[in-house]
Amino acid sequence: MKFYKAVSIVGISMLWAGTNLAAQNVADSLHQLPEVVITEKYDDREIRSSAPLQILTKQTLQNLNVLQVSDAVKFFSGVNVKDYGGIGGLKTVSVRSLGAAHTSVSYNGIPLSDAQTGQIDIGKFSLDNVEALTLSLGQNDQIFMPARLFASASALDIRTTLPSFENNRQFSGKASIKGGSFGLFNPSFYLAKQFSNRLAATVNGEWLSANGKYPYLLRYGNAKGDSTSWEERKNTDVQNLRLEGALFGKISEKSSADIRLYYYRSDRGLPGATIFYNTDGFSKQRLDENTFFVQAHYENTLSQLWSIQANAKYNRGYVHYLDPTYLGSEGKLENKYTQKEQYGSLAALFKAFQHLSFSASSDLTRQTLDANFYNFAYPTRLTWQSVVAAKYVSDRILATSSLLFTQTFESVKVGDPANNQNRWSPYISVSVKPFENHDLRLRAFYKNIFRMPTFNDLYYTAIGKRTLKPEDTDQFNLGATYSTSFGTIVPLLTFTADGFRNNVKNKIVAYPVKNVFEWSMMNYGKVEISGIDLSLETIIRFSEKIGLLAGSNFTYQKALNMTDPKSSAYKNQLPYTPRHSGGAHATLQTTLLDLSYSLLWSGIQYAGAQNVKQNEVSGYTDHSISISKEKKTRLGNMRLSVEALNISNKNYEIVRYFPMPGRSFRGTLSIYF
Amino acid sequence: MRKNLYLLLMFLAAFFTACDDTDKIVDPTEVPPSQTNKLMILCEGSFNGNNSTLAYYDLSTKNIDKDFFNTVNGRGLGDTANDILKYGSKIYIVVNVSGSIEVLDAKSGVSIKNIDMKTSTGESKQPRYAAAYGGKVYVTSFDDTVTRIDTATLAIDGSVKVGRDPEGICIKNNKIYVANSGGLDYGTGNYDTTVSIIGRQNFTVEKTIEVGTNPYQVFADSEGDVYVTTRGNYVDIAPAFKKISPNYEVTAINNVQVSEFTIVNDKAYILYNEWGNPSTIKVFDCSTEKVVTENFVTDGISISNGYKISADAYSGEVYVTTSDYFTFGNVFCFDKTGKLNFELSGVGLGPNKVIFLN
Repeated sequence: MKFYKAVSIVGISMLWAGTNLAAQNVADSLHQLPEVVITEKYDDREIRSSAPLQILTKQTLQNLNVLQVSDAVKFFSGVNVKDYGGIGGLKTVSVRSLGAAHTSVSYNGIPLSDAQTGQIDIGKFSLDNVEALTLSLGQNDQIFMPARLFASASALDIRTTLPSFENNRQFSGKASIKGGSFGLFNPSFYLAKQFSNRLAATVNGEWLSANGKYPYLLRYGNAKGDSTSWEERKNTDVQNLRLEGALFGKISEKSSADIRLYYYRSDRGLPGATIFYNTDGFSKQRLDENTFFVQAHYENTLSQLWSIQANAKYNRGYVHYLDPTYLGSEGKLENKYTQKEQYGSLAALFKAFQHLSFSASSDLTRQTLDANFYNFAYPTRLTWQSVVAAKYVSDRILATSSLLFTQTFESVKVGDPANNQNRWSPYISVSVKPFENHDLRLRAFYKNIFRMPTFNDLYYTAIGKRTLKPEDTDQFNLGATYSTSFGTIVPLLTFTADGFRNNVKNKIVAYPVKNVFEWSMMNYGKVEISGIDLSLETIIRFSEKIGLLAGSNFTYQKALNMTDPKSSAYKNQLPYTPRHSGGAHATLQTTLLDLSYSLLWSGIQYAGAQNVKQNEVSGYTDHSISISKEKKTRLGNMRLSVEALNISNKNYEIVRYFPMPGRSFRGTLSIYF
Repeated sequence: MRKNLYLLLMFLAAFFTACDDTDKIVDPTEVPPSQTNKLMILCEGSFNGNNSTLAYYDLSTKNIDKDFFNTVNGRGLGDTANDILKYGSKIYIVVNVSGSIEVLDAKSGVSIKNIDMKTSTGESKQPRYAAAYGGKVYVTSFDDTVTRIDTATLAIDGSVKVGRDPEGICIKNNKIYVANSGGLDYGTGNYDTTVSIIGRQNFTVEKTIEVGTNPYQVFADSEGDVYVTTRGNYVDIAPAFKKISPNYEVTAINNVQVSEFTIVNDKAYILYNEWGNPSTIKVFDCSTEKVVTENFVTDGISISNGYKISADAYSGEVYVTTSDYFTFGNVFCFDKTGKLNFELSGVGLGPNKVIFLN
């Protein structure tokens, strides 16, 4: 039912947009709809892929009313973003209910890591300089890549803008400023310089600050007529600084290299849960973070048959958590963590036959964690990952397969190290186009992969357990993609449908051993997930000058706790996993302006293990609209957009008692030069 | 007969607080008004979940309202309700994370007052446990204090600094015994090791005695012995069960493993739980100072995830709650011979105390 509702909302918005067309149908000779709009807006990799692949390009992102990577990722199907609300709130992404630790997040092709918690806060990443966000379920069809990219259940890649220069210019750039509700102030710049045919560089930076305050309605009970009170979300201030630099070199006709530096620092309040009768007192915690990494990539097409690439990275992450109200004898709780990672990877591609190629890659990662804990273990993990893969491509068939071997070596300064692990992880996928003249493809994949216990799982004081095994997942996917067009009016209509079945075994959970003070991590959980992902994308061209881009997605997930038949949570839906969820977006492009609408919705979910009324978190719909205009000026192309977010001012929560903001506004002015 | 008279006197003592200066036991679980007709079961909920509940069970009609407080008051109890006691005509519920004490009319369940338990900077004092005597309710809080509440005005009329992160509290012979856990210093392993003894009249700490690492619960018997559990440091110092004599000598009671206990009619009912094994209940006689019943449950009922234990002094019935911290727990009622009377299943998240109403 909800799916139809979502579709009909898109339909209505299309109609609404249509009626406004006449009024706005004023020719503006400066503003042309480019002919190539179709291929730019919809990458056909998505429908050709043998495993579900979703891409949000820069153009789409501009129309989605999104600020952070986490906002955009919500528009992917099969995805659950656990969002604690506000700009500074933690946001992690779980794909098809496997849990956030099974989603790898990479930045320009090299994974970001957090060996401590195993999950990446994707709220930290700005969309300012992002060229594309790609979510691959299972694995993408590329086989010529580092072994580590084969090693997760699904992968989100954040790809930043590459330098480009028009009309023989040697300089290009962008300056942008955003402002809006919650005291948002967000200036940014991007500069690209070409030194020669062989060398280019980019620098870009961004500052973001916000007080983040917003009102919310606190409900003191689930029943109608229960007390409510209006409160203000506090301790929500954020100050972020991001600086990046990159050097792109073409060493020869056949080889190229790039090196990228990334620095990020953030100082923010951590608003706690909205506690009854204690809304003021329960949110004074602070988090400041410092991340620096440098990564390098080298690629050489040695011959028609052979290519090689090398990747390396150094990462240092520092997190400082402070609770100044902690009642322990120091009068505060202060945790400091420093993570370091050194990483190197070599990969080779062998195009053995016209249709068949092979690859092999081998990675070595060294991760360490320091923390200011009493009796802390100071763990180091060395991970060796090697993979061999094969890929077959013809007009009608695409198939890939890989086998990954992982070996870990754990060592500690204090106490005993955790067990070393080794695993073989297989993957296979195939996509078939049965009819010559219809762009229908049937696809299937199977992947078996695991996640390592995190340093917290293994070594956290008192709770960590060193004998933990990795958490295993199996994924099965069966789907179809279809693409067609109807003359010049509908140049593109695509549809994807996938059914999936996932199993999680040895799920790592915290469990009380004796009493509330003694918990331990255990390989205790078992989960069975079955579901459906549907997506629809279309372009409608009403006339030369007016076009509509629209899409929607829907996810159904039955994610059941199969751990203990005696438990009353047995066969209950996992917490924070709605059965039904989806999103939709529509952009009307006219010569005068672009109008965009986006929708996110979710059915009810549960805050606890048991699917009872007390644990229910209501569903929500979040509608946002924006108007944008591009204009050529003497300074360059100027783009102005005004967004109204959550326009129905719906008070909702994704994580219970972490309210999301109500209606808010944002304006952006950018100049491209 | 004598016993009933004694109990009646106890009951009167609780009511007529003017004549409270007796040295009789007035721990609320030991003051049965008469035969129990109704139960209230406090469920603490989950941290940051605002889902503490109070269930109300009528023993004769067998009706249960699992969210009684909300039904009556149109709002939730708050976050992590830790303790409940009935004293006089009122019920006091200690809500840890919300930093409040909810005072209810015992008959109707209607909230009379939500007493704010906040520090000077506005955070929760983290109140934990309460005991009542002489027209006052005394509450331990993790801000290292015991707060005194006047039961007539329902105003805070005193506060005294004790050891670190006090947990259990009991009152005996005009002394208030407070178990100082130091539990919030778990990060450095530096637990407290003491019990503070507060004079009830002058409301100052008169003595601090060493009992062992991480003291937790304290309960008194009729002879003036106070029993205390220490939880150890969860690494190399084991939990222990100890006795403080009226002249403050501390002796260990060996070979008794205690997760939770309560004392009723000079019997300590001791619950021990370890994950994956059935929980056990022992009975320790406070007069002979020996375990008199190794296995209280006589009809073969197996309890997993035993969480807390309460006992009805009037009937001798013993109530054991269960919790796995994720799903709603159950309440088992055993008669005094250890046979299951009834079971209430799925009462709430983390049922931690049963109180008895007539």
